[in-house]
Amino acid sequence: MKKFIVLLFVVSAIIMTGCGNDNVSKLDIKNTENIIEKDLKDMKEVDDSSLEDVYDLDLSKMDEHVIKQNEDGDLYAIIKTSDKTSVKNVMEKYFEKIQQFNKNYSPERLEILDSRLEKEIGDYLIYIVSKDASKIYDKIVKSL
Amino acid sequence: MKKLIIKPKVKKVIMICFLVFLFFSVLLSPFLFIHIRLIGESNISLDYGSKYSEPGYRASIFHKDITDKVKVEDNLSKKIGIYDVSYHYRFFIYDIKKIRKVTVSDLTGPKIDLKGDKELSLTVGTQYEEPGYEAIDKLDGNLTQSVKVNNNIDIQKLGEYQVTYEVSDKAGNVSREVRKVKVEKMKPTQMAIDNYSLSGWYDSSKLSQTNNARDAYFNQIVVVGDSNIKNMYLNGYLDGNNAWAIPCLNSETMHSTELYLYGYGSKMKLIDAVSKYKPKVMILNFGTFSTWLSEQVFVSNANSMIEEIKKQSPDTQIILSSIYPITKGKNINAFEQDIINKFNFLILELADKQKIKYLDVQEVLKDKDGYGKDAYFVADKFHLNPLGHSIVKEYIKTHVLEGI
Repeated sequence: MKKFIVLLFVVSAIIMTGCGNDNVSKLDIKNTENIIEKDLKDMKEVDDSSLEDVYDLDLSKMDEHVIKQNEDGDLYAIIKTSDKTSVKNVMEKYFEKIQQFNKNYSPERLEILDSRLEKEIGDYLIYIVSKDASKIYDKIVKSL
Repeated sequence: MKKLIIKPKVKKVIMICFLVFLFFSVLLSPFLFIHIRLIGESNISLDYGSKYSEPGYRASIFHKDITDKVKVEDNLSKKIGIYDVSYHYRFFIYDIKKIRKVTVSDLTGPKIDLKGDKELSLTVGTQYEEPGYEAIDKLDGNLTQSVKVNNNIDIQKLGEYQVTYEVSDKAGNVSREVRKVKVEKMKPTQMAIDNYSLSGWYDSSKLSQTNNARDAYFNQIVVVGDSNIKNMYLNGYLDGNNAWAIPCLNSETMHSTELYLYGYGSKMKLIDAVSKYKPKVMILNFGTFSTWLSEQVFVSNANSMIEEIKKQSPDTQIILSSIYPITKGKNINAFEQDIINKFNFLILELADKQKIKYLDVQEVLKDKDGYGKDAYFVADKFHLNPLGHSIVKEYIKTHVLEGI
C-alpha cells in the first residue's frame, strides 16, 4: 500500500509539471539591453537633457527609460510606463524630429527609420531602429 | 514499527479515485504539458488607426521548444471593436489554444497644428495677432471650430505669456497645445533714428561713465579702425604707436588687409600686429564701411577676428567701439544712419556674447535728431573733425575699463 501511495504522488507530480501558464509581462531592462547590444555595436546613451532640449522629448510619463544610438544611426529605446498611449505619442514626435534631422543629414536612414520596430510587453515599450530589428526582437522574445 | 493497515473497502475507494484521477490526467495531459506563453499582455488596447504589432509568443512541450509549430490567426480590423488573436497548436485530437484580446478604440485626442512659430515675440504695446491653428481628429475629422483658445497676454506689460488651445473629441480625449508669447521692449533695430537708444540693453557689457582717467589710461590703448582713426592720429589726438588703421576698413577686410602702424612705420595684418605687440588694451572700431556688408557676414567676420585676437594674445583686453554716426543728408558713400544704428546693436550683442566691453561712443557724437552733430564732422558728413576727435578721446577717458 505504501508503494501505491508513493506512485500516486509521483504520477501527480509529473502531471503537474506542465502546469503554470502565466503570460510574460515583465522585462529585465538590463538584460534586454545586453541582448540588443550583441547585434548593435557602440551604442551610446542619449542623455536626458539632450532628449528634452534637442528632441523635445517629454520624459515625465516614463517610469524608466533607456534610449541609445550609435554613429551608424541604429537606435533603440526601452521604456517602462503606465501611460503607454501618451508615451507612444511622445515617441512618435521624437521619431518625427529625428526624421527631420535625417532629411538634412542622412537621407539614407529615412527608410530604416520608417520601418522601425515598435513592440509592447506589459508596461514596457520597445523601439528598435535597425535593419536587423526583427531578428533582434526574436532574440528578446526567446529570452523571456 | 507498526504496519499501516488499510481496510479493503477503503483500499478499493482509494484505488477507484486514483484510476479516475489517472484517466482524467491522461485525457487532459496535453493541456498541461503543452505550454503556450504569450509575450506581453493577453488584453491589448490599440489606438484607432494604429497598426497591431505582435509582441510574440513561446510554446513548449515539456522543455522542448515548439514555437515554430504554433499557428496564429486573427480577425483584426481597423474599425473600433474587440478582436481576437489566437495561437494554436494541434496535438492529435487536441487543439491547444491561447487567445489575446485586442481592443481597438479611440485613445488619442485630435491633433492640433499651430500655424506660425510656437514661440513669438511682441513689442510692448502692439496687438497680438493669432497666426492660426487647425485641429484634426482621426475619427471625428476637422474640429478646428471646437478649439477653445485662451490667452493671458498683457501687451502693456513685459513678460512671458501663453496662448492655450484645447479641444476634445467625441470619445472624450482632450488635446492641448501652447504657444509662448514674449512681450518685449522695443529693440533698438526697430527704433526710429531720433529715438534710438541702447539704454537697457546689455548694460553690464557697456562701459559706463567713470572719473576721467586722463592720458595715463588713454596712452595704454591701441585703437584699430578706418580713416577716422587715421585722422585721429594725424590730428594729434592719438599717439602713432597706438594708431593701427587703414581707410575703408570693415570686419571682413580686417582679416586680410595690412594696416598702417603709424608709430612703427610699418604695415601688417591686424592679427600679425596683435601677435607681435600684444597690446594691453585694444579698441576695435570695425569702421563705417562695415555697414555695406550683410549683417551675417559682418557678425561672422567680427566674431572670428575677436576669437583670433584672443588666441594670439589672451591677455589683451578688447573693447568694441560703436561705429560713428553720420550727419544728416546725402554722403558720397551712401552710408545710412538707421543701418549704422542696427550695426551698433549687433556690435553690442557681440560684445555681450564674447564677454568683452562695448564703448557706446556714438551717443556722444549725435544731435537731438539722432544724426552726427554737424559741429563734430567735416563736410563729407562721415569723417570727424578735430573737435569730434577730442570728444571721442574724452569719452574714452571717461568710460574706463576696470582694472587698467
